[in-house]
Amino acid sequence: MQQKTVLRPSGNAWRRKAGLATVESETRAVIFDLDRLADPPMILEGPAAVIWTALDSEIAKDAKDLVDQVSRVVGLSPADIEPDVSRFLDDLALKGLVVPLRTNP
Amino acid sequence: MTESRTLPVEAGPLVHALVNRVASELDVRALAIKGPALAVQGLRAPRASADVDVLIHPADLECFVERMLGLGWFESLPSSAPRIMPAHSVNLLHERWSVGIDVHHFFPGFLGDPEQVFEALWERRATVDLAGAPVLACDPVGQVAVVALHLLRDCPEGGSPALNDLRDRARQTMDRDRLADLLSLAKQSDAVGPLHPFLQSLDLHMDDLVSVENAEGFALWQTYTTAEPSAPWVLKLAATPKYRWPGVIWHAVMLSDEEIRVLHGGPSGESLAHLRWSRVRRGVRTVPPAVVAHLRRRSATRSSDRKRRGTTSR
Repeated sequence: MQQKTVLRPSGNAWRRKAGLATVESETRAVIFDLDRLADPPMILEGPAAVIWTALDSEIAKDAKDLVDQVSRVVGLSPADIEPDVSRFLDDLALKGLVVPLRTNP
Repeated sequence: MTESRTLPVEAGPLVHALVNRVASELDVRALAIKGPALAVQGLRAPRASADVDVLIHPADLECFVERMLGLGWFESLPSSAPRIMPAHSVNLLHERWSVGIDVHHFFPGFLGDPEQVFEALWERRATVDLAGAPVLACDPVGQVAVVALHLLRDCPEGGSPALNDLRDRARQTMDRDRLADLLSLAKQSDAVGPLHPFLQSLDLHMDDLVSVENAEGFALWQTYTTAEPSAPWVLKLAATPKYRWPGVIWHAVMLSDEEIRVLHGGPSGESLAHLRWSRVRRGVRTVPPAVVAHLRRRSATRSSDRKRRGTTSR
């Protein structure tokens, strides 16, 4: 039996997917994918909203820069939050809300 | 990451973006009116609303609503109570969205042909940024006309705090030429009559003689905006053979439980029987004067129509 391979979307840089409508505040972001009109909006709160706010829709941000930026906002060291940030970005990518870019081969 | 309901202040701009995308995909024409678009244009303070409003080309209403139903939206139950104004919008709701959508296929107070009125508003459309997405909307001039007509329904003589706020914001955000444009749009859409008090408040139309193309529509507007709450039932009785009056009166008093709750229910949680009894007492008090007023108005309108055609003096 052939084993199914799950591709992880991890990348070295990230940007928001184009075609999203978003309403954002400091602690909350509501995201609606205009390419998936039947889906409900996604609500991000707390640290998730902080990570989302750090992303840009046009310029891909380096993963390390993202972690640094979020760490400054939440007051924790980059090393402490890096695994959670990476996991969360992967989740967002699987939902089609962010685009991972691989800058290194 | 949650999928709970959005707050209305968040949902409003998002739903406008959704509507704009649906209209674009269907290649139909829709304009955001009132609500968040108005706030972006500086014509009202930002605030949450229970519904967002969109004006759609009358010919496109059916296919637009059909597509929205396909996306999980559903039509709210229309009231069985009679109304003076013909239905001018479809109210759509969705279990996962905290705001509804009022899809207008015409807007009361624009007395011109609905398709021509839409063309006039479409021709001067603007793009506003809502939830980070470009959304087609009425331009400020069109918005002011729409919102003024909306507010004049409850205060036809003008001068309400909301109308004064709109007037002040219009003056602050629009130069003299754009304000003059409002008068042009009012003429183009045959809305000078209904808008007259607001136009006067902007020093745009000081003549007491108002030219109205659709005199019948203007009379209906005047009836609608000055009517007692019981007036739709009075008009319904007037249009019903006398032998069927008991049935109409029974329905007027009883309505459905849901309608009674919507119309009269408050936070106090009064019983349906109590709310219905209050309705009966109110009806006994207000309907006879309303019948007399209706008969006088009808007599005056017929007399006036005979004297002049197309011109109405306020």
